[in-house]
Amino acid sequence: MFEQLHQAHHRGMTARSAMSARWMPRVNLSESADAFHLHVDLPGVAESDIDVSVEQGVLRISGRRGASTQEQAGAQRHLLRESPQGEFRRDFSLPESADITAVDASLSQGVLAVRIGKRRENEPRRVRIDH
Amino acid sequence: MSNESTATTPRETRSTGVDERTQGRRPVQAPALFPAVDIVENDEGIVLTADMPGVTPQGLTVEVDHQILTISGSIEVDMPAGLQAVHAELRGTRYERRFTLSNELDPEAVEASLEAGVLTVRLPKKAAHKPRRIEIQTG
Repeated sequence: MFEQLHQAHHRGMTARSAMSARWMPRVNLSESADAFHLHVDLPGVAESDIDVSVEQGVLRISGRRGASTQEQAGAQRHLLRESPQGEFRRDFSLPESADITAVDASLSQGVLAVRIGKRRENEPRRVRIDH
Repeated sequence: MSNESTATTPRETRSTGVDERTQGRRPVQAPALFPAVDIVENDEGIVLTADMPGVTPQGLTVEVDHQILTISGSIEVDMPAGLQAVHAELRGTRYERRFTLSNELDPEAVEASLEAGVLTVRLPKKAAHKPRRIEIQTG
């Protein structure tokens, strides 16, 4: 089941990196017995600039990183500029087992952690036999 | 006449290697990840910012030794027990990077802060290297 999430995730990645030069934050994806876990590196991004949404089976993490708040004390010049800036977006197709009503996200030290709960497997149902 | 200098630029010391001076006293660790760095220079000095997501203030080290600035930090991300990795774009447990500082900068006055996974290091220039305003006497 996680295979589905995994593969869809790869498809999305390839498409997007070819499409534009936007920032593609690095993502680690893992799975536990009761949930899927995403860890996304978003250094320097304010919580209010991050959007997590689920629509039609797709989990989307998007937002933007504003220009770094360097004070404008007189003339300044950039000697090195490596940090990714601007808009970012990553999409993940969710498998059937994902429970979209059980998505939690938290941000700590520039890492966004998203937990997507799994639906409980179909429990055996007692079928009543009518006489 | 002031000396128009571009020597403030911190130069990268080496990509991942362990510095000779530290090799004797520190165990050689697994290769560290390379944080993305921005460096801005103004009249007062330089400001270096490094993306180090997952690093806490406790896990962070900033040192200047013989004009070599070393920034390093261990990545600590809360992981529930029994987690199985499915896909990893980031493999590593720590960041590290070194820069050689020009002697215009004052290593005694280095300041560092960490916010939202971004390390900011301020290195002011020594007083003798800051631009001074020269009053022009008229008479």
